Parts: sequence; structure tokens; C-alpha cells
Amino acid sequence: MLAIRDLRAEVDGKEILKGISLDLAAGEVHAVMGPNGSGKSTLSYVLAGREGYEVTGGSVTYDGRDLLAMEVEERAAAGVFLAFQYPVEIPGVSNLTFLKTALNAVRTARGEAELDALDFLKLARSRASTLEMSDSLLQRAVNEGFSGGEKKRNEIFQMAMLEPRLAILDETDSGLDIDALKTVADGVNALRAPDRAMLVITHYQRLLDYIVPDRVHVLSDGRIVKSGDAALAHELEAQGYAAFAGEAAGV
Amino acid sequence: MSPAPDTDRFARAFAAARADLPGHGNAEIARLREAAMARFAAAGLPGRRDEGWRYTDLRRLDRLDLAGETVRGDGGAAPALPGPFAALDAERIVFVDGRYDAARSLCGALPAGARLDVLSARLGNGGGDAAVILGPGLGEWNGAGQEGLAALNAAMARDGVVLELADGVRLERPVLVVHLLSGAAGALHPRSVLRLGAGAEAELVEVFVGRPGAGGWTNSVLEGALGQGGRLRHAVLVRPGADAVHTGRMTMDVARDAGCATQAFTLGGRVVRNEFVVRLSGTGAECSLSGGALAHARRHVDHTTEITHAAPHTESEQAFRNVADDNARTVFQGRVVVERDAQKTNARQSSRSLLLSPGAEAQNKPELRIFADDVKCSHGATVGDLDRDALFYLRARGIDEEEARALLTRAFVADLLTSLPVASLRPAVEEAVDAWLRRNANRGG
Repeated sequence: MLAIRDLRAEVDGKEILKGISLDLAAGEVHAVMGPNGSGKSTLSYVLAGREGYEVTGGSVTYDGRDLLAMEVEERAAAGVFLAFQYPVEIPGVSNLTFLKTALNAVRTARGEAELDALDFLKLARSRASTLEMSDSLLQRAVNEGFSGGEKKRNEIFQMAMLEPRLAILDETDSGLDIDALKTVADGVNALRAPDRAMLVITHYQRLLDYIVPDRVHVLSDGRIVKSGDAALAHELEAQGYAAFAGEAAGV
Repeated sequence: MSPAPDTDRFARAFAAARADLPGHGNAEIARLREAAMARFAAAGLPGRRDEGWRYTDLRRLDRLDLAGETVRGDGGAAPALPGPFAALDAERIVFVDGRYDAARSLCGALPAGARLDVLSARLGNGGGDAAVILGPGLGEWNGAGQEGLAALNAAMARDGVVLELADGVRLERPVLVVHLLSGAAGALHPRSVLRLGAGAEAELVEVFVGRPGAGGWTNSVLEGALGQGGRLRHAVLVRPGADAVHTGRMTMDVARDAGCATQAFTLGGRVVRNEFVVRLSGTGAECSLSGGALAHARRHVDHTTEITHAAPHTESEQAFRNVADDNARTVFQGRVVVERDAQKTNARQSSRSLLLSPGAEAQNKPELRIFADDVKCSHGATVGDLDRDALFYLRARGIDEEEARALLTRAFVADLLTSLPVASLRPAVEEAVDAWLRRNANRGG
């Protein structure tokens, strides 16, 4: 579903991704782990199409299409979803208005009929309840005044509503206490499906106790220095990133 | 005093129109109009030499044909009253090109002690307190000198409403005053007068809607006074034609413990200047002024306020949101004067401007003149473009850029919509704002 080949990217003229290759098949969950500054968030923003992240080499193919040539909203309409590390607060736009606009845009792009207000509300309420999101969170302005945990839950809620084919979770565990982490992980696991792939980006192994990945990639200084199965995450936890960074330097 | 050269054409228009103006046979009314014309001649049209007019240029009036002053425009059919306004449960008084249109108006029975007149009828019947209606009063008071536009309005006024409530009278429904403008040329001087007794309460909505391509000049005045403990909730929507010039001036005297809440949305017109002048003259008086200026193409929208705290323990709050796209320009000027005796005054002012394109401009001029020493006054002004992070967030959820920009622009004025003083008007104002956003989005950037 997703093929990243020798991807290189710069931010403000500084090379952050220095040749990343990764294959993600439908139904799989891959984790990308790495220390701060290794390029994890840059990878997620490049995949989502954020401005200011300049791709200088390599390719990303998504379902046979050149992902990097697509506009931000086209990627979303094609089923790419980024759960933000820092969800943006948007005063004056209610969560429901935002999500209804987004869902109908995505549905239209998929050739599906728009949902009317009532059907939308029903769907939103049922998906929100599994994530223990209150009605008031739905009515409030997008992320405004939400706690850290509420913001992350809201991201997963949006994912549940938009039903993407490729979900990129950027440090979805950061800022969550253990109960919130479990709720969010349950929400993510409920969305695992044979036709859906996920890229779980995280600093800590903790999240991967709850969302067990098929593959784990270790990112260091803009390169994947090691890949393995779920056991690699535990190895990392025990040994720390430094050991792997050293390995990379030795290559 | 001989009139300044630029007032000559107005003097000629007055001479031509006077025999046809309401109340022309009444000596007192004729005298009041003459006096108003003399005040206008002395003050002249405001120009860039005037401190309060540095950003707004009325020279465009030179290009307008004013020969048809106060005469019905010739631009074809009047626009229809927009649906949500027609649906508003209100005492509705409609003027088409400055003249009362009984067929489109609809008023129910008012409570005892309430009097609502059409200005032309009132003056035609001899006026009653003509001096209250056409005299300089507070309407021409601007803290400095005479106010030329308001004086010209008094001289040339043809129609409008006069609303008087005796002490303690509360209107059940809002009074909706609609001006439908069809004209391609000509000048209109609508004038409305409001007198609320002690403890009286009213809601007033003023709407100016032009045909999309209409031009001409509307020079409107609302002159009001609230008695002790009186309450006015007031909303204004100004959406004239693309070539129109609109100058509007509200003045309000607010007595002890009385309160005035006014909100204005301006959504069109080639050059629009809306002034809101409030005098908090009694202890405990308060006012809230807010407004949204939305301008695109080469339009110019100016919201100017002046609030004078003339008594102790008075409060004022101002919130203005200005949105400019293309090569449009918005202006906000907010002056707060705290007189020497107005101790324990509290005045807050915020003005935020959003620029949607590199060619757009916003001017913000807050001004505090404080002569008392025990007061709290604050102002804040910001100018910026749309939040890049928010834009990316919306697009990352599949919302295309145009729609994302419209959503964020609407969000920028959302707090105004939720605080409309006349709550029942909200659907109508929302529709007008959304229509502006759609029109803006549909032009394709």
C-alpha cells in the first residue's frame, strides 16, 4: 500500500530525512521509533504534505499513486490520515461542523453521498461514545481548551469517523496517562482491519504494549538503522537508542 | 459665512428638493431644515484634513450624480427583502429608495405608551416635536465641532422612523427598519429618531440592502436617547450595492443605569463609513459596541466609534473584527474619552483584523483620551492572516483550501455572531455572512 524509497527531505535548508525506505502492506501496523530529532515527525509531515518540508529526493508511492505530487486535501480524500502530535486549536469552529465538513468532503471524493445532519450526528455520537468522548467535547470549538488526553482522543475519534486506509499516528501516546493511553489504544486497535495500514510513530515502547506492531523500525539521524518484529521495541527499551545510533555510525 | 466650494452642489440640490420634502409647508420645519443646511455649509463635507477622516475618502461623491437627490433611484426594481429578514417576527417598516412602502411594511399593535411613526408622516402632520427630530441634538455632536454629514441629513431627511417609548414600556418584538436600495445614482438621507423613557426597553434592527450593482449614496442617521435604566439592543446590517457609498451615523445618549448594545455588520459597498457615537451621561450607564467589517474587491469599509464616559461608574466594551480580501481595505477607529468626573470607569476595546490577500489592507486606530485618574481602560489591536497551522489541519482532514479558508474566516467573526444583541436576528446575519464567504470563495481565490 505504501512504498517509501530513499526519501530525503529538508526543513529550512537542513536535511532531516537522509534516505528512508519502508514498505507497508494493507492490514499491517508498523512502528517507527526513534529519539528526539531523529526525523520521526518530519516523516509524518512529509507524508501528510505539510508546507515547509521540502522533499529533495526519493519517492513515496501510495496505492500506486505518487503521494508527493498530491495536495494535502487530496491525500486525505485518498485515505491518508495523520493523527497530529500537537492537534491544532481552532476557536470559532465547532468540532462537529469541522468533522461534518471533513467527512462529507472525503465521502464526495470517494464518490459516496454526503451524510445529512441527522445521520452524521448519529454516527458521530456512536463513535464518540466508544472513545468516552462527551457530547460537550463534540459541540465545543475544535480542540479549544481540551486537555492533552482529550486532544489525542479527538484525533482518534476523527480517524474513526473518516475511516482512512493509511493512518499515521504521530506520538499519539505523548502526554497521556495510562488510562487515557488504554482508551486511545483500544480505539486504534478497533480500527485495525485487513484493508487498513498504520504507521505508529513513537518515542517510547509503552504504546506498543497496547498497539502491537507487525514490524518495528528504528529511526536515527534521518535513517532507518534497524528493522525487526515487535521484540525489537523491547530490545530498544532495554538498551536505549544510543546502541542503535552507534550501529548506524558503524555502517 | 459663504459655503465652501464643495457644498455648492448640495445647496443646489437642497434648493431643488425643499419644496417636495415632508413638512415643507410648516414654517418651523422649514426653519429647522434651513438651519441644518447652514450648519452643513459651515462644516462642509469631511475630508482628509479632518482627523477622523484620514483613512476614508469621500471624494468619490464628486463622481456621483447627486442631481436626483432624495428622488427615487431609476435603477429598476428594488431588491427583495432577504428571506430571513422577512421571516423575522418584528414590527417591520420598509423603505424603498428612501420612501416608505406601506405594502411591504407590517406592524402589529404596540403597547400603550409606545409610539412608532414613519418620519415623513410625522413631519407631514406638522412634526410634533420637530426640533427633536431635525434639530442638531446629540446627533451632530462629535466632541469637537459640527458634524457636516448629520447636518446635511437633517436638512434633506425624507423618511425613517420615530420610536418613542414612555417610562417603563417594553416592546415585545423588535422594530425592523429596512432600506431597500435600487438606485444607480442619487442620494438618500434616511433619518430615524429614538426616545426611550426611564426603564423602557426596545430592540431595533436597521438593514440597508442594495441591488448587487447599485450605486448612489445613502447618508443615514440614527439619533437616540435612553432614559434612566432604559435598554436598547440594536443591530445594523449594511449591504449596499457594489458601487454604492454609504455613510451611517448612530449617536446615543445613555442616561443613568441605562444600557445600549449595538452590533454592526458591513458586507459591501464601494465606500462605507459607519460611525457609532455614544455618550454615557449618567452614573452606571454602559454600552457595548461590536462590529464585523467584511470587504473584498476594491471595497473600503470603515467602522469608527467614539464613546464618551461623562459620568462615574460607566462601562464600555468594544469588539470589532475586520476582514479584507483582494485589494480591499478595512478601517477601525475607536476613540474612548473619559471625562474628568468619570471616575471608576471601565473601558475595554479589542479590534482584530484579518488580511486574506497580499493586496488587502487594515488600519486600526485605537485612541484613549483619559482625563480622570481612577479608571481601567484597555485596548488591543491585531492584524494577521489566517493561521497556517489551522489551515493545514483542516486540509489534512480532506477539506479543500478554499473551504478551509472560508471556515476559518467565519470562525474569525464567530464570537460576534454568538453575541448578537438581537438574538432572533442571528439566522439572517449568519446567512448574510455565509453568502459573503461563498461569494468570496467562488471567485476562485
